[in-house]
Amino acid sequence: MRNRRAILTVGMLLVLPGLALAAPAVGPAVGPDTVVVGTQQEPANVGILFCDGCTMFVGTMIATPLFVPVVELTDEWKWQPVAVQKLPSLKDGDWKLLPGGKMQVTWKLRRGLRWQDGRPLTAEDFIFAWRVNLHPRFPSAGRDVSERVENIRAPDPYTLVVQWKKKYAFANLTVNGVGYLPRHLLASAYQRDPSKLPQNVWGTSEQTVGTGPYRIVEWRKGSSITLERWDRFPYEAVGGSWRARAQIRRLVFRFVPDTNTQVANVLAGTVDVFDETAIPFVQGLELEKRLQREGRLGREWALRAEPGLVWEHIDLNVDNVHLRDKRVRQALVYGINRELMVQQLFEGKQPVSHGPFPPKHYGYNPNLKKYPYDPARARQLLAEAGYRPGPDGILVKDGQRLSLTFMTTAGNRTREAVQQIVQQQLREIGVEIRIQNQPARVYFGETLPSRKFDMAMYAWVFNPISDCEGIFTGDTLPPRGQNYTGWKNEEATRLCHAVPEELDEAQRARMLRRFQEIYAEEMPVIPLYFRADYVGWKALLRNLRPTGADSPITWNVTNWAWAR
Amino acid sequence: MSRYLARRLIQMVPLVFGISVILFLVLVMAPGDPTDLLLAGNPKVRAEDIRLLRKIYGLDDPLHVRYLKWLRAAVRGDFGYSRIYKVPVMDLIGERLVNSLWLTLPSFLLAVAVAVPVGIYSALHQYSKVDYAATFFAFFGVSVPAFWFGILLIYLFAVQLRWLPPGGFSTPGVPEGWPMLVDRLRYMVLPVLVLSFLSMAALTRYTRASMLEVIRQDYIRTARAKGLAEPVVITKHALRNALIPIVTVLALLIPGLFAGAPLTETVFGWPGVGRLLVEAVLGGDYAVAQAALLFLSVLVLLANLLADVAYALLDPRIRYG
Repeated sequence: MRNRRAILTVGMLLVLPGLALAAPAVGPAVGPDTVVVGTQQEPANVGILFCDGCTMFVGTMIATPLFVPVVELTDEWKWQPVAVQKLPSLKDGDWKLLPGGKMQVTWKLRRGLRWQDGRPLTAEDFIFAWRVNLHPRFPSAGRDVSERVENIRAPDPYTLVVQWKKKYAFANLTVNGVGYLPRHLLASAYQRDPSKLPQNVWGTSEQTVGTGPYRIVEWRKGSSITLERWDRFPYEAVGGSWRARAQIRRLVFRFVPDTNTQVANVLAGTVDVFDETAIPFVQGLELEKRLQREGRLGREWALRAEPGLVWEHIDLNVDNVHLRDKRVRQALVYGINRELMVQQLFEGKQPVSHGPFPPKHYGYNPNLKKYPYDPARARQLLAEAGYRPGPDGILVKDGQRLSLTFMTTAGNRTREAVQQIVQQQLREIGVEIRIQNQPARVYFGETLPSRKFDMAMYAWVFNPISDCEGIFTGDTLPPRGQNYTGWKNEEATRLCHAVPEELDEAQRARMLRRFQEIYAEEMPVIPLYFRADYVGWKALLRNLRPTGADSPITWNVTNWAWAR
Repeated sequence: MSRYLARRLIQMVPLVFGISVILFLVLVMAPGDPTDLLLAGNPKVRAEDIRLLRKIYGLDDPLHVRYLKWLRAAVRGDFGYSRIYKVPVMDLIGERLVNSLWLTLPSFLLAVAVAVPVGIYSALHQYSKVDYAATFFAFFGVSVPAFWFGILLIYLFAVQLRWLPPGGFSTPGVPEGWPMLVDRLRYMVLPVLVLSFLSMAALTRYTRASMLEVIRQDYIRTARAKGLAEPVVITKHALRNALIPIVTVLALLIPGLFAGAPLTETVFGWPGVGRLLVEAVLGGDYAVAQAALLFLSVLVLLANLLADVAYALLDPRIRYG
């Protein structure tokens, strides 16, 4: 008996300290001057350029308050200048076309911007970052835009003259493809060994000196990063949403790898905001229903699932003996009830897509050929293509059964559910689907690049200026690019290569619309749906405006405020 | 004894070397490499970028060259940089190890403090209510998955009752010293309960079985026949012998303290070494996985040695020479 009492006593002692410190659920998790953001993964480095293999998304979310962006994308998908005086334009003459297809773009930095150690932010920092990104020993994950730049001059510390090798449509949205880095802090490390730059204390610790309205005060690896308002930030010198004086004194980013625990954090009110990566869509849907049931939705938590630019789709390998035929590809799309699928799995919150671009994209084609669920039409197309039912009900042509492998990343429950629906529905039109899933590393590292699949489901992460180059161009099959389907269409290839070099937006949109017509007719990729990841924040927190694009929830962080 | 120790330690050298080769091969030959995940879903990454990255990381060198490079550095105590966290591997593992010990050590002590007395009591009062209760809890503890039990506790104590934080490691911004310790204790309660409950179960069963075996021995009956008081019989005669196998088990549990607890750490968002290891393997952070696994192997070898030595000290019949 004594032992049992001992156990009880120990248990009580362990639980007691918690009694005094229950967290309020409705109000701020920590206090009225702090916002706690829950996210899934810790970034390796908050210097955006140093993002090799790190989680770009979270890195950007934390970097945004630390570094003044050159331009920002608002929730209405408008581009605004922040660290520069204006966006260059052909009309104003600060963007000039030169003979031989070259260009010259002139940028004026705003004066008064400083690094948090007091040094002014100047043109040199942009030139330095551009050099770093192009160094062959620097582990960069994206040189494509920087490589289009021939050279950059700085006639004075606040003017940048950028020479482009060839036309580039978005030369008014980026100075050099990378932004800026503190030359005065990193130059000597860069001289020593460019490959070691991502391991520098700058970017990986509290010693990260930024230029934004917040600075890092604490970085507990594996647990949290805390930013504090930097009171010397020159609000009067910047543009866009950044003119608003930051009201929140502290921003805390907490890393919670387990999504169930993250949901518990939301229910217990120990985070104030959670971002797109924190809770997978299906769990977000359950969370929303639960909050609704308990009368807490809107009163305590605001949740948004904004369809964005992440495109879930199925690549069809056009070298497959069956998938070579356009009619078979079309039949597969007619044979899948995508509307019912998104209703059943996502309650319609992740909308069916008809092509790579969502309605919000400037190049979206509203008159695109759509494929409603029509099994009769699917059967007819397959019959036209010469398929006849075999003894087991599966269609046969030239002695070959119409049987395809269907792959995706293992362990993703949503994708596995989609696979089962597709398998069942295609069975009804006489197509056999064999499901074969693999861990992400194998799937993306070996299977897709070597094109060893018939059907492969995954997502492309686009942004508002994305186009079709690299994916739908016939000369960019792996290893030259990421055209995994192997689809080659002359007109589409020409259009997709021309889009990034077309400076007239209306003309660019026309080209993209034409591309989508070709795509919808040829159907090299089955469009499934656009993802809408949940973002949430306490109802008392004002001015959070998710963009549904690739810009992070913190894009307008200086506007955030607790309701008084 | 000292000669025996020296011999055992010398024998460990080729063993550790062999383990390091096997670990290296297993990690490197796993399909895919860290640069591949860069491709996932990003339409703007080009083959050229990937080729340069592979070159910088030396991923294209022949296997033996890569191993020898690693070995040369490792012998000097340099285990390279973590590719995910961009810090020296040893710093990272050291830091995470300390975090894990915050979790594993109290769990271990709590488990021992509860399991050994309960096990002994159960054995002495076989088929009593307490014995049945202990047995029930032991089987429950052995059977429940850590993540399920963890989430259940989070749900009860954090979501419903709001007594404790639902996972995490510390409240950011708490001042150093006393307040930080109190804060840390609040975060520790649930994961420590989960972890200790799981090991408590096995230890209780073990102690009970060992004690039952001993009290059926002839010398116990002899002791009682001599007219010794029951407490003396139990503590002096039975317990000392029953503890021998238990001490061995405890010694073998020590490496586990340093291995962290991947599942519990993941559920509670605790930045420990177990979670680090899982993430390193999944994310292709070879340097970290290699160093951590090697370190654990050495610990297992040392713990075995410790168990053998403890056995000799406890049981005079065993002598190493």
